[in-house]
Amino acid sequence: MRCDEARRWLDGSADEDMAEDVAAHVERCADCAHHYAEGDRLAGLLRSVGPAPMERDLWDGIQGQLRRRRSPWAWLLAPAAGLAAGALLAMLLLPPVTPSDPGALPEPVESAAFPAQAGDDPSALEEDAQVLAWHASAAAGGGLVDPWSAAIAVSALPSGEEDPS
Amino acid sequence: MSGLSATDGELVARARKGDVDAFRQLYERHVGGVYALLRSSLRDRDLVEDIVQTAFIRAWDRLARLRDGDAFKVWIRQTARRAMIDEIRKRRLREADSLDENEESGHAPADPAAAPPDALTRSEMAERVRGAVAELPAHQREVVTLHYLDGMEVKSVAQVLEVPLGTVLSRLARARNALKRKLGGFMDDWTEGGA
Repeated sequence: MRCDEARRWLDGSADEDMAEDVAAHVERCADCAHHYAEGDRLAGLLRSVGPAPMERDLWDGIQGQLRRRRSPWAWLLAPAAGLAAGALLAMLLLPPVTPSDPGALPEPVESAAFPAQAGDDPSALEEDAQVLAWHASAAAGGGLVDPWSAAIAVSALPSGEEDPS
Repeated sequence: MSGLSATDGELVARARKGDVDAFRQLYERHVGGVYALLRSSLRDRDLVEDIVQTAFIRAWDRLARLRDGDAFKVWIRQTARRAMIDEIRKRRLREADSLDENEESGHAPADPAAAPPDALTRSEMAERVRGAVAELPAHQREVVTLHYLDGMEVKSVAQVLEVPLGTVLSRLARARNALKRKLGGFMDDWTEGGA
């Protein structure tokens, strides 16, 4: 491509089919590169104007989020730290009762699987009530839900009072 | 070396080690250009500010991926533009074709030569020029903003926009012709006035 062709293109023809040729020419022709970059007053006008200024500083919002990250690698460490903290918290908050502590379990667990019926032995009803109370407590205690206890408590409810969920 | 004279590459190296102050210097250097680039495509100022913040936070998280710290200028603009595209997709917004004269864009109404330059303050003239740029099609606004207003080399503009160099030159040529028509004699008076 000749310089006059390149300048004609730069000054207005702007046919995209020729764009790569012009680009190649401008890259190796210092005169045309100068013509392109600095050769007209429009460029000077636009550069002197510059971009419209921002109306407010956004750094505080950015810094707030960076603090949570602390370093570019924090995202790698965060999950491990979270797990460790969770484990420590669980050790501190869990009630001392565990399934391996048979002394804490009420004996007649099996009976709770069968809802009390009218006409049952009153002592058996009282026993059921104690078992249900224990399971309700176990399910709520320490914020941890024991699914086995919860299932027993639900199954022990009369059918009309079942949780709709 | 003082922070003020540090290169982008040096600041990036410090920021990679968790130096927030170094990252703040990078932010101060480049936030104006990033903001202008996004504003050339989006008219919602609040959305632009959200994306600027997202872009810098994303950049902080991904600094380790930037091989050449001195390429931060291109990289942060590219990151911001990608964040903008993600956000547009997410919100199902369409990229604005133009900053309407009726929008709250802050740009001057379109009639750049309505008053002689000597009757205008410098800031008024700047607004008129920016108003003329705002009337260009979106893809021309981007290249004009990056190349003329933000002062980037055309090769860098091509990198930011992820298009061939020839496409950038073609868009710039069309934009320059349109701006010459819009600004007319106003342009001569401005430059002769020593602005």
